[in-house]
Amino acid sequence: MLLRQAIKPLGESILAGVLNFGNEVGLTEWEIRSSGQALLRVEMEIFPSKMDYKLDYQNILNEVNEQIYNLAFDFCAKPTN
Amino acid sequence: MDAYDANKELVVRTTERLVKINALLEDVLAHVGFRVRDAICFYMIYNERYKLMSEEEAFDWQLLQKILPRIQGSHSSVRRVLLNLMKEALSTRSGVTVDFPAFMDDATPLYMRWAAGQTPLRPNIHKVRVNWLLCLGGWRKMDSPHTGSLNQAVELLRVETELFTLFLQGRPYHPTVETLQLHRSSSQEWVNAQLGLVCSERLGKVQIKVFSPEVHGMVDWQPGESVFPCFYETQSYELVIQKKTAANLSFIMKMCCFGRQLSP
Repeated sequence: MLLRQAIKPLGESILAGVLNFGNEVGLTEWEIRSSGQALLRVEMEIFPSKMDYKLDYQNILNEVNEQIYNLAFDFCAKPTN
Repeated sequence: MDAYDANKELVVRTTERLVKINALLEDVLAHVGFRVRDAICFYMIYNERYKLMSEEEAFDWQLLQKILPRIQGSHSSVRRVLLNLMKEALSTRSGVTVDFPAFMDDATPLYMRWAAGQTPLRPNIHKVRVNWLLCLGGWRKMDSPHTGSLNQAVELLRVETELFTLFLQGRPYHPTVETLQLHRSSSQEWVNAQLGLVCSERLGKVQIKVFSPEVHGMVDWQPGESVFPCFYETQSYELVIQKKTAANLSFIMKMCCFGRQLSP
């Protein structure tokens, strides 16, 4: 996903804009470039506003994994029925 | 009322407690009427009939569900009511005193003790206790010396280079995160957030500052150091790049990746 349009020049010497990360939780990377070359690369962490993801994310992952096994079994079981 | 005759003692006892609590609530115009009284009485009656919880515990739950949601605000009268309510809720328990004048200023000792698991309440009323904690904790935050600044945009990141100065501004807190006390460890410390900056040699001497909620201001930052969480989803941040030369600069957002977050 490339977002270029959000940050616009404001007069001669200023580049400004509003960043909104939407629901993209996790690490976000952006760059300041000059004639195609990266001058500054920033990687920052966007936190969810409604859950404690360091703990909860692992739990969600585990839960989804359990369901995935069920799905696989379900898929295997169907043709024999 | 049919329920009254069969459960006269319980209804009278519950109503008496509610009358006391109502007197406290009147200060902040949050007092309840007969409907809530009836609802609470029925709850208490059913609880007793089916032997679900102790009477104390059931009443705590009703306090939490019916009374606490009515109390909101950042005024000191709200704090007084909260503390009064807690005093009332604790009054039937042994050996707990609420030191009023001290807690009016700062209730930190009270909920730090709770956070550490040393509870003046019986341990099984965990959830109620946690919610008291949130009420008072949230209150403290709102009334801290930084009152009002919670919603104010501040500088969150500043990168000063020889070619440009970059500012990232926005609200350092998220209201829901504050209310739910998210991203804190069990000892109420903020978890670490990741921040990585890679500077090209063309930038020359680079000075980086980040926002710290501990000092409520900008502090120097070196690559590799951890930062506090201050960027949240759906919240908007303002990016300003002030050029020092005529060079043409462009901003490129690369991608957001959740999966990488948890890899070691």
